[in-house]
Amino acid sequence: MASVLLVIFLLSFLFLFLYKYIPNILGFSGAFVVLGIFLYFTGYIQPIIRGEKIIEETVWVPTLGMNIRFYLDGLSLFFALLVSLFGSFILLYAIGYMRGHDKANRFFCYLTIFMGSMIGLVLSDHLVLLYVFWEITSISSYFLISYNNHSKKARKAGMQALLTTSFGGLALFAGLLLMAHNCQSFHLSTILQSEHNLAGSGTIISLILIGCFTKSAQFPFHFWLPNAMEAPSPVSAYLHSATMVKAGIFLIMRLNPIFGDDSLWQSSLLAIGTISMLIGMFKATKLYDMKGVLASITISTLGALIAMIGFGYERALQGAVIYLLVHALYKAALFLAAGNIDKQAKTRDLRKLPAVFRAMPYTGLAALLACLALAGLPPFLGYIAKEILYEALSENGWQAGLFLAAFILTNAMYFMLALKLSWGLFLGHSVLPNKIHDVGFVMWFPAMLLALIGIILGLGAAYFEPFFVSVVSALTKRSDRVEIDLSLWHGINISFILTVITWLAGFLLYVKRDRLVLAINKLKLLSFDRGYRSILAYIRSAALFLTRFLQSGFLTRYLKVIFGMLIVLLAWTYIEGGLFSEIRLDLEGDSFSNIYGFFPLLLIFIGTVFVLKSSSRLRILVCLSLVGYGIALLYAVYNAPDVSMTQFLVETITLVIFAIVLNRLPKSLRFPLEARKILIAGISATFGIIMALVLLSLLQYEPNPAMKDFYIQQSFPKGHGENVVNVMLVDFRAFDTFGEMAVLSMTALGVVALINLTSGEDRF
Amino acid sequence: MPIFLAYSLYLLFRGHNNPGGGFIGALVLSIGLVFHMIAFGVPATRRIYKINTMVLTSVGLLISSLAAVSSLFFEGVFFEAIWTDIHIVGLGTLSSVLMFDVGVYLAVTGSILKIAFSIFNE
Repeated sequence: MASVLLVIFLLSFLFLFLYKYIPNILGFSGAFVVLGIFLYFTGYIQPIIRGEKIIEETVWVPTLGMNIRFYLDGLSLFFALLVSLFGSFILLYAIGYMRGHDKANRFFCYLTIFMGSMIGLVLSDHLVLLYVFWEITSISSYFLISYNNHSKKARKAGMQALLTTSFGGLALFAGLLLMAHNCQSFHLSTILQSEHNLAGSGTIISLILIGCFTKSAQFPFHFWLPNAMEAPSPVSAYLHSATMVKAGIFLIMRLNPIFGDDSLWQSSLLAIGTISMLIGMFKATKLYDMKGVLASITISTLGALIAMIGFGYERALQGAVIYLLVHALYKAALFLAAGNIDKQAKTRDLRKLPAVFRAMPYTGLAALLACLALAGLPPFLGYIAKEILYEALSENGWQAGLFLAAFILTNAMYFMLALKLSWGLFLGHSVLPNKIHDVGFVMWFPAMLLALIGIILGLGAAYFEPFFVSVVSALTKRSDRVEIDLSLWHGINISFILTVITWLAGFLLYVKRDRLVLAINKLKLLSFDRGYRSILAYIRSAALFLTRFLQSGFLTRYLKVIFGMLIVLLAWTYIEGGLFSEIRLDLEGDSFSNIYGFFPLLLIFIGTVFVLKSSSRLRILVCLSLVGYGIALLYAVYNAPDVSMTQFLVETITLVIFAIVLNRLPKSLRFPLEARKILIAGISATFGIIMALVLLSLLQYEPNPAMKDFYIQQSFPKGHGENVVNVMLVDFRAFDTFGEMAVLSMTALGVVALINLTSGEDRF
Repeated sequence: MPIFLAYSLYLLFRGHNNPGGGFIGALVLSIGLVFHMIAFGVPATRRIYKINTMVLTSVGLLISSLAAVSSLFFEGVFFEAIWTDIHIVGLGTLSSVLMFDVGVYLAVTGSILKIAFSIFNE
């Protein structure tokens, strides 16, 4: 399974570098590769149905107990199939959609990175790995939403999505860590099977749920999803309806066996799910932007799914799994159709929609089929999902009854919206500005296929029953398997009656739709988007205040504060620990027997004296480097050639660069106030004395000889090098070196930014 | 300049067994280039040596990270050194460690030059 991820990430690099030269070849082969991955995963269906659970492990950082570990059971296989199948369709579609865009290579790169991380997310067994993939999906989603980076709206929407989801991501990370700590294991497979009772740990539950709710755009974090519709249509179809927003649902489903019995878990899922379902539905009715309507329906459906998981009994869970699949199918198809219409007719406004069906028959047909699925008509899978849910809800207590009423209302609204959408598509209101024709094969085919799969699954649902059974069994703690009945016709029972009621109500709502919109407009829904903006503004002003308070912008003041703090801290540590008494001046040691050591000391002494005496900056600089060279010589004398060489070179380069900077500064130093001069002198002197004392006390401790011996002995056999210092740098402690390199590069960028800020030019 | 370059490369490759290495080599090279810059100005230095400092830095970081993850492909552990049996006169033994050091060399040179160029240009 690790190889699957490797293939996808490799694909993203290929897209980035080669897309410009061979767009079509690469696009089609990419879609086929992802289809191949889908087929690869279908190979696991039989073992999973037999009840096997597959764990694969690749060594990553064994010293930290972090390995790339994948866990495949019914649930993760279900999502992996979903992500890979949709991925190939979306890639195919994007070939047509992105044709002619000049930055399309980046688009495909981000899209495939997202695909890989989404598959990684659903497969990973290690919690940290899961979190890493979770964040990669957030980041790639940010790039994809603001892909159209010339538009300010797109940039803002991307930032909003990133801030919201990564806020949730942090909460999730904390929750996962706490959970791992409580269970003594980072492996999901172990946690799921262990007997640790996590139910009742409210902190963990709320942290994890915050993460899931932000990702799945649930109340009160739902505001980012409609704004994210700035993204190109393939992104909306793939990330914001079929896959990424389902990551939250995935995690809730994944952890349901652990937390399922907890009352906080159940009640918050129920409450948040129901609220989101209703809010999304009201919003959808209000809007006229086609993609906005679809996004709001997504919020609403995800809410319904979450509430269903909250009920927790088998029937509801079965319904949730199938409903999730249904939603992914019709929503992706509708988004793709909306993208086609947007591209050809240049409008997404439902009121201005031209008679699309006549001009674009294939797109129109696909959209119509998807609308029927949205309405929940037979023989679509959507019909079956709804039947199961009605049945599940009507059999249980008053809470279920209440939710059932809300759910029927929502479904009636969906029915109404489906009618509205398809009506708009069939009989457009406005005249076509110019003759539009249908999009190419690659753009209508995926939408059509997605809509058709809905029918195929609906008709042949019985064939897939065993697989759904194994998916649902991953959602519960109980090991016995519950049969699912996926046939279309059950006879006239309660759920059929409820379905008929839904259709009638939906039709009625459609007839009265104008008055309905007016009524909903009167309902003053709180604007969470505005709330988000004011929180952001508040944070920004607080940060500004803090910056003004801390950052005076004067170098001398910073140095004073830094050195002052160092003095206080060091002195405090030493006085607290009573370490001053241990300091002894040992003049008899080896170090003082080396006569050559005195020459550099003399150099340092002379340098220091002249620094203190002169008032010209240039002279001070030269004298300071004299001190530096003296120190380098000292290193050389005491057998540290590498350190000495580095010191020499660093001294030289700082001298040169400093000399350049000096050109811009006043020639000589002046202290306007005598008091300030004394203060600076005092700080410097105290700091010098304390450092000397610290060094002297360090001499008292024999450094651990085992460590030195280890490096010296291991350097050649393990590091293949005779220079111990260098072997340490590039082999034993290579990760430290790598970090320092990154810091250095960031510093360079910072310097450039600072200089450009003052000179007001943009130069790179 | 050629002397600086040659010497810095010499330092880079001999680093594993004698004093030297990527960081020191990079310092020597950048001192040379900074002197050149002071003498002839930034545009001349950029033109003659065709330097794009950001590219240098990022390529260096990329090479180092590739060296770090390369061991993953050979069933090793992250940052585990890989050694080949190929010896090249003057370069020593080829290995992922050498690759890492080359990355250090490029990244450090790039960063220092970037700072020097922008300060001098001001």
